[in-house]
Formats: sequence, C-alpha cells, structure tokens
Amino acid sequence: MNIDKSLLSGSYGMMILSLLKEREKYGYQMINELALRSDDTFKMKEGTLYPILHSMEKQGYVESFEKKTDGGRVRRYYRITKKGLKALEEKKAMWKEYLSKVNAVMEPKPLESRG
Amino acid sequence: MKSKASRFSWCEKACRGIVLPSERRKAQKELEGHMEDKIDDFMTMGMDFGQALTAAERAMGDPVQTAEMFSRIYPRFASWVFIFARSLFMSTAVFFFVYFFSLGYFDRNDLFSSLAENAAEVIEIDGHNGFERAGYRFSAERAAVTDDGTLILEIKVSGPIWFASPDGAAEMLKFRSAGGQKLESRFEGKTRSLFCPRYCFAIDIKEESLPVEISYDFGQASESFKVGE
Repeated sequence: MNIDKSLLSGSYGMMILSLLKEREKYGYQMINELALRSDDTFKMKEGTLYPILHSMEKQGYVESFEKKTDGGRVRRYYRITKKGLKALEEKKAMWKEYLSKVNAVMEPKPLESRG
Repeated sequence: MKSKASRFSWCEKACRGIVLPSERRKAQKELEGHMEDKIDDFMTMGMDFGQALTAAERAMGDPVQTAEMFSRIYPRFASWVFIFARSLFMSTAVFFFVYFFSLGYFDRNDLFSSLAENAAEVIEIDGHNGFERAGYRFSAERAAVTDDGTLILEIKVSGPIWFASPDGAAEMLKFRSAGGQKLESRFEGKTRSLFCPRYCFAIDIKEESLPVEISYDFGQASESFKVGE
C-alpha cells in the first residue's frame, strides 16, 4: 500500500515512541518491526529514521546507550524516557482526535442519528 | 573487498551535516553498525559483498538528504560557537599552564651561578623587594660579590604586560652606589624563562658602594630599591 508521504510526516515519531514503549531497541530493529507490523506499508529509510531518533534524543523523549552483542558488534540502543511517554500519550490523543474528525468528514453520519 | 572508507562512504556523507567531531563520530559509528547489519542480511539472501553493499546503500536513502536533516538537528552556528569556545578554553588552559610554570623556577638556568662561582656567598633576596613601573615588576632574586669586587645581580622582570618582551625595560635599569654615584654595569645575559626572564648584571663595586641602589628611570618618575644593606 502506498501512502502519501505528507500523511506520514509527524506520525513516524509517534510510531517510534510506541515501539520503544515496549522495550529498548536499536535502529535496525525498529525499521524491521515497523515494516513487519504494517505489512511493509511503513518501510522507513535509515536516512529518515536516524535524524528522527537523534532529534527525539535532543528533545529528551528517548535516551541512547551502547551495548555489545554476542557477536562482538556494538549497537546503539534507544529507550523511551518519562518525557517521551508523556509526549506519546499526548500524540496518541491528538492522533485519535484527528482521525475521528477525518472520519466525520469522510463518512458523515446521517443527520437524524446526530440527535 | 572494498576498503572500510569506501564501504562506509554513505555513512560519512550522511554525517557531514554534523559539525561537532564527537557527535559526528557517534552518529557515523551508529550508521556503520546499521549498514553492517543490512549487508549481512543481504548476503544471507545470496548476494555477494559488492551487491549487498550497493543494495544497502540504495535502501538507506539519499545521504545528502540525511545530511540536511542532521544539520537541522545539530545547528551549524551553535556547533561552531561551541568549537570556538572550547578552543578558547583549551588554549587559555594551555597558556596558564605555561604561565604558571614560567612563574616558578623551572627555567632558572645557571647563568647566575656560573657568574658567581667564585663568590664567597650567594644571597637569596627577599622576593618582596623591588618596584612596579611602566607595567613591569622589577625585583632582585639573588646577589653575590665575587673576589674581584664585582656584584653579580639577578633581577627578575615580570608584570601584567606579559605579552611584551621586558628586554627594553631591563636595559633601562640604573645602578648607583650608596653615595649616589652611578656604577658601571654590564649586562651578562638572561634566562630563557618565557614570561618572567631573569637578567644578570655584573656591577663593579667597592665596599663603600653597598648598598647598591637599583632604579628605573622613565620620564620624570623614578623608582628604586636597594640590595646589599
């Protein structure tokens, strides 16, 4: 499914925070999970992911740390902060509100059912 | 196999938007790790290394665009201000380190000792003597009278005008006997200390010349202190 990029802008941050709410992850993992969970709808490019992650780290929504894997490779993991959790809840609420308004326009209820 | 530099040229290009070297290294290392994972995955799918690298670079997007996004997150101006402030701090720290040691005696060479080697006694002079004039502080450090009646005097010149050489100021020192007669002096040399050089003078004296008055004449004003009282 192809989605207009302008619809995605802004929602990537929310999706990344949602992934990190479950547990800490590294960039490659996030990209794969986004693609997997959305049936390849959200195939995020690395060139997009990392600037978003760094921006969120600067804003204090996530924090990063290095971890060595069993294979000896060092990966930078990200985890959500309290500030990030709060921001995620706010973004979710806004998103739900936005969706309900879009739905209200796209699929209007019959006049009599509105009371 | 491609060299590490060419393997990670995508990552290097993408991180050009970050000015601070420490932040750039951190981001580049992260992207390189990511690219290695991606290459491994493509190779597992049956590609050779070159194909996997090309595929990974294509999948990661346009590095120039990524660099632009990074440059918005790490503003160039703020980064340059930080680099400038850090350089200033470091150069100031180095300066004070050198300055601190130059105030000490680390570079006090033995010119004085060699000049006064046949003196019966070397007098360490109270560091509080001296005077300040024209931005410099003049003080006598050591003095000795040799067998042939020469007063060897080591004078330290330092002051707030640390960036200017005090050689000219030292040349204006005058020496008088207790009776006020001008004494002939020879400039013997100076230590190499950076900010507080010590100047050695040899002054021909007789016993009645002591104490020797050292003065610095500048314009109409004159300052002096005495050695050998």
